[in-house]
Amino acid sequence: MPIVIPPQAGMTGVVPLRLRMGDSPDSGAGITELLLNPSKIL
Amino acid sequence: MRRSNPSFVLATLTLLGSLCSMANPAAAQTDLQQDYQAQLNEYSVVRLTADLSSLTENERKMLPLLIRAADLMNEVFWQQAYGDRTELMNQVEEPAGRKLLSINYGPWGRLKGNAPFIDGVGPKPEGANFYPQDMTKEEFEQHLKDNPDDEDAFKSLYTLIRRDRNGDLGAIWYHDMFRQQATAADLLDQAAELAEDDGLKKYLTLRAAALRTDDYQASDMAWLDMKDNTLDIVIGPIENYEDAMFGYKAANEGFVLIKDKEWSARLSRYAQLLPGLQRDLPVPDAYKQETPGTDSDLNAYDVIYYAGDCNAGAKTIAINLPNDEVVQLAKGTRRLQLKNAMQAKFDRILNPIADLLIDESQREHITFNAFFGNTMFHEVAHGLGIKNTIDGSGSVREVLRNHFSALEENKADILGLYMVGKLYEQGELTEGQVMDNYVTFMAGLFRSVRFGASSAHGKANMTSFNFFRQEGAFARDTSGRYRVDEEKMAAAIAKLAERLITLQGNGDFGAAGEWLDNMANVSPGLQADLDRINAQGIPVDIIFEQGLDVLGLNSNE
Ligand SMILES: [Zn+2]
Repeated sequence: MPIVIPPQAGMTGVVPLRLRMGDSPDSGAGITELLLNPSKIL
Repeated sequence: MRRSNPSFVLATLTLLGSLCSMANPAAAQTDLQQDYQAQLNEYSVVRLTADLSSLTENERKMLPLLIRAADLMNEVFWQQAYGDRTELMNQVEEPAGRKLLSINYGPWGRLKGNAPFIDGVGPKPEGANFYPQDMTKEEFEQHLKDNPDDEDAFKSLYTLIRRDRNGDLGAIWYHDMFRQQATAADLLDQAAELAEDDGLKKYLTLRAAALRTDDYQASDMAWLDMKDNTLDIVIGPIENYEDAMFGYKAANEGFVLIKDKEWSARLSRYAQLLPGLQRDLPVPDAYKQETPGTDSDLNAYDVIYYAGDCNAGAKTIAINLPNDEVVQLAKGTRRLQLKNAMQAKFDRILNPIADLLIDESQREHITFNAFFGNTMFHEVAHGLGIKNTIDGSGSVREVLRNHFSALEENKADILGLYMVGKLYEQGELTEGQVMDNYVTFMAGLFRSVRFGASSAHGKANMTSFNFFRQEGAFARDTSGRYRVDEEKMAAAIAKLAERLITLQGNGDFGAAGEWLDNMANVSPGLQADLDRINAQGIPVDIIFEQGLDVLGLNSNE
């Protein structure tokens, strides 16, 4: 029998809260860019 | 077999026909099991142990707490990467299939370009389970155009994006979504009470607070202030590779570590040599004007527990953290060399590859010290070179965009080797010889390209391989064994270093793209060698037997 992953597997019924502006701890602009650089070796 | 009796043939066919119709599910089952087993065989099982004899009584009491805290990251990462673990597991009976699900934290093969290995499962969503699975990039971006106030929350490393009752997108904090973070925080607080090192006590306390609020900065700062601790834990949402849609979302993981103080002492002076090494780079002065920081530290650890993101698919052997740029600017970074995991990959993977592909006369140059050194100097070399273009148009990263990472990883490999050569010349390195590093690097190229030729590290490996070949830095004999030419290799390394730093400093996006198009390819000859490695059954990576039992620390203690 094929397995179908439900949309939002494991998250059904969750009603998200909407965050307020300024809640984010990482509002600095460069951070996600910085993270594009692999910081680990396999 | 030839049979002339038609009635026999007919009978056989009939029998076969009826067998086939009945045996189909069983045959499919066997195929599936073989496929599961084949994928499992790509991993070598390693018991994750370490010497605990130097630990104090309190440190031994802290270990179970830290391991339990790290272990909770497994549950969080399952949710981030896939969704409901239990429901998925219940659909697979074969032990090999279940094991494979555990290793991959979901139904997609991480060593197979995320190809699904469970029947009926579609491709892995680009944004894993960080975003609604029916959400497009365009919808996300349109939402932010319509609701600019949501930008911080939506792009936060520490939120999931979900739909509300009306189907509108919303963000939810990890600490609201994942109760495991609060439980882990309680365990870290308990460990902090036992901590004898003030730096570690402070870090554990701040990290616990961070897991409750998703504000990690103070704990990252405290982590860099720790100097004398023996135990360490890296825990929380850290890397963003799992979010292949935007790279906005961090995935949870936990490493429990024991510092190897003897090896660390050997490493401590290399950071001090960076300014001199920067001056010695083989590029015109305009490309080496920046001053590298010397405050970053470099330590060797044995890992005793991997959980979550870092335990999924190919395992990490070295990390450079934290990722928070504000903390990096204030305090630098810490480079962690994970020695026992490195040793395991050396023994189980690199050595067998060298047996197959390295010329007998150079086989002695494959050494663990060189493997460890190459990995370490790769990390150190990220700090050298050029971060801003020479014409002042911006940071190299911004200007080179999607070409940046491949060039930067290649630069780190090549400048790392260049530094090793310099340090031998200067008498700073005395154990071993530079050929150990060259030959071990060569064999290492075959090991790491198996993780995917299209990743930044994969492109870096291919560029090195193709450049070395062009320069005659190695020869491949008719039996398919490689031999490094020491002088030509040294020259090729300097030339490639110059090329890469110049490409970065010039910040020419088009030139960088053209370079990668020409250089970062798997040639047919190389592919044939990779096929030989696979045909020998040499594992691609490792999985762990780990935990208190493996360490000989059971709960009665
Ligand atoms: Zn790197």
